[in-house]
Amino acid sequence: MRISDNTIIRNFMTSLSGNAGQLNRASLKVSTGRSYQTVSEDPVAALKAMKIRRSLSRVSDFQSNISDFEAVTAERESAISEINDILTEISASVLQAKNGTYSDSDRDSIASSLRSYQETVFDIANSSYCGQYIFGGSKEYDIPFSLDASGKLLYQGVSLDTGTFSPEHSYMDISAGTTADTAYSGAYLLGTGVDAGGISNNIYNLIGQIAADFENNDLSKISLYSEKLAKVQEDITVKYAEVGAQSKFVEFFSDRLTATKTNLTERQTELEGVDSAEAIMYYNQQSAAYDATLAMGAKIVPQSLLDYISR
Amino acid sequence: MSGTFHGLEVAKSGLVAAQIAINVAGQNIANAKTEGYTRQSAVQNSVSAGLGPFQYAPAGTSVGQGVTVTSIMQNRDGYLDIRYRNANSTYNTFSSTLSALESIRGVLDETDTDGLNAVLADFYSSLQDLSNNAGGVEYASLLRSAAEKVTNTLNEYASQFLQIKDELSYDLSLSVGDVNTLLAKINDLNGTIAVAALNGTDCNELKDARNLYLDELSGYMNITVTNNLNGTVSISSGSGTLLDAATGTVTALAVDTGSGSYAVVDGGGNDFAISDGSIKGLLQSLNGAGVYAGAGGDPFKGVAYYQRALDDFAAAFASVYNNLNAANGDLFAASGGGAVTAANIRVSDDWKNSAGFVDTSGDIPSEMLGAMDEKVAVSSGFMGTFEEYAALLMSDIGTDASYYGDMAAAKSAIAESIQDDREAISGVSIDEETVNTIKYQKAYQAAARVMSVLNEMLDTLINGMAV
Repeated sequence: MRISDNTIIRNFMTSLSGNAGQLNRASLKVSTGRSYQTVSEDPVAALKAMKIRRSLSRVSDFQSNISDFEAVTAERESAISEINDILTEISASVLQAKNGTYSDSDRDSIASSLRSYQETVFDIANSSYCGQYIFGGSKEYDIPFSLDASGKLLYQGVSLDTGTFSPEHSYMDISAGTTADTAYSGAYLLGTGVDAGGISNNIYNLIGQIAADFENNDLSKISLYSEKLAKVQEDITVKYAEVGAQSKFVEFFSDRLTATKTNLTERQTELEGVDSAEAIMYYNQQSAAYDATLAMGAKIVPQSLLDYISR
Repeated sequence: MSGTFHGLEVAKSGLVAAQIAINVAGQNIANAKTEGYTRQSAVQNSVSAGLGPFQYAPAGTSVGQGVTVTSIMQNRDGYLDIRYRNANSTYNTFSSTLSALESIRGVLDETDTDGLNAVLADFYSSLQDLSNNAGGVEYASLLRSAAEKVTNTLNEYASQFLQIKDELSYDLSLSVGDVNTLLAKINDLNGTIAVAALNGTDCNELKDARNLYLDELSGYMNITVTNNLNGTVSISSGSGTLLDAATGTVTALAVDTGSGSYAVVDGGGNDFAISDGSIKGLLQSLNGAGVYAGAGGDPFKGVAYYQRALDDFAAAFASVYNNLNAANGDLFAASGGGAVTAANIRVSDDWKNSAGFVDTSGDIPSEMLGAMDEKVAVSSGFMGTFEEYAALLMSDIGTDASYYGDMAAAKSAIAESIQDDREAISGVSIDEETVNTIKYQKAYQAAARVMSVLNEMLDTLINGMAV
């Protein structure tokens, strides 16, 4: 094939700009640490990476849900444990009061301590975390407990002795397809209804009844109260275990999410990132090729037979 | 029997021919780097002995009458010209489409920056918070600002698409104007060349200029060039004649947007079909409506496709959330009323005035959250989540830009290799011309030498012989 001067120079220019382009891409890879700069360079990887980004943002949503939930559960655990302690104290006092040697005034003082325990239980049941009432059921922004005119406890405005309560739910996503019920009904916590003997199943009302009887020096129901207290305390222990189990359940998902996040981040790096050693090697190769092309250009461009003919 | 001075005449013709050949070599060297220049060579022919009006063959042997330069020829292969122009048209279709797709990609690509996908992820997180804290008004206001990010992003995309459309249509009108100019120039050259041909002039340089214009024209559209006997060329393309050399008439092209899409029309307002070239690339980038193209429409995914796809998204997004908030009223509205599009979608005034306008009662917040993961028929043929739709748009532009990038590179390589073939015939090699210069210099010296030998012979004959 006949080669003209323009052919040589045009082909040289083509290779030079091709090499410059490769060098530019190689240097971008090193400086950005990304294996591609635009979606069209590697559409498949870019779309996979997009999907992973979406999953990652979901995972961090779930993680923030779980950490909120864990904090609330921890609050509940400590609240229930406090109620349990109070019940222990009250059971001991009632046992002592059963003792015939106690005078009326002693019972009065027990009654007044029972009244203050009652208040404590009320405060605990109405405690809140970050503006949300932890035993507010599904209405966590409304104060759950209040008292009626006779000093009986109301939950969401309904008497706990006479009203009926259905379970409350409020679901939160903690993992793809898995939800946790974040609502905790205060009615369930403190108990509802009265038994056949007219004794309230509700902790607050029960303490109130015992205190009132002591104030009136009425010891007729004291054994029944002891039995009742034992039963109520047993229930509270069960509830304490339940909350513990729930927090274990969520913790399990929290661990799983951490693993998923690590996994996804790894995949993202695989798709979007470059091995920097490899990238630098590639850059050096391209740089060498570019230098070689330039050196070659310096040789071929000026030469022709004219340079060699002496006249 | 040849005449006494016959030899002198023969030697003189050698001198003249060598001189012309050296001049041609000089012209070639001078134009070695001139764009579009075609290598020339002097066509030499030997002149036979006179075939006089003899009844009988002359006695003895007859010697030829030297050499003559019959023409200055261009070294050019017409077939390669046709192949190059076709390849150039195809290459320009891909490269101009590619540059349009790259502008669109600049809008949708979220590899490096955050866009629709990112704001949708934010919107989702805000819904997640709202649904976990249904009564908290601060979460309602966070959701509102996430929704504003979504609507602003859609508005921004829509205005960028509009801008790309403006740029492309400006480009289109410039290209069509350039085609008209080129046709007028070629028509002018046709006239000059035809007159010169009558005078017997080769006017190679004018032909070079015309070929250069034809190459340029082939970048805009696919053309068919017909060479006429009088040296002129006629040009036709897709729909018909662009330049009729016989009558010297040129079809004036114009851009027409009357039918809602862009078209190139001739002087009579009739559609002028353009099969390839950068104008074709611009037309498909502007008009291509992808799945929205009706029968006879352009199924290429151009700006029109992305505009409509984004409008569908805005409308579906607004309608899903407006329906969920039906108890209170519309969350999203079109500014200025009417149907919701990507360009006019806004957070409704009611919601703007009060963050709590969003319905937080009962299961509504969790239904709103669920709607992000639900499959929605956003556009005909698409059933998926909003986020999947946003990713689909990115995938469309990514794969198309990648395909057109690869094709443009491949077509450019083909055009380059044909250009190499053309250069192999038409290009000037200074080495070669230097050799030619030396060759004809020697030929000139030799002819001069013959002349001085003849001179000596005549000197001997005239002065040296005693009479």
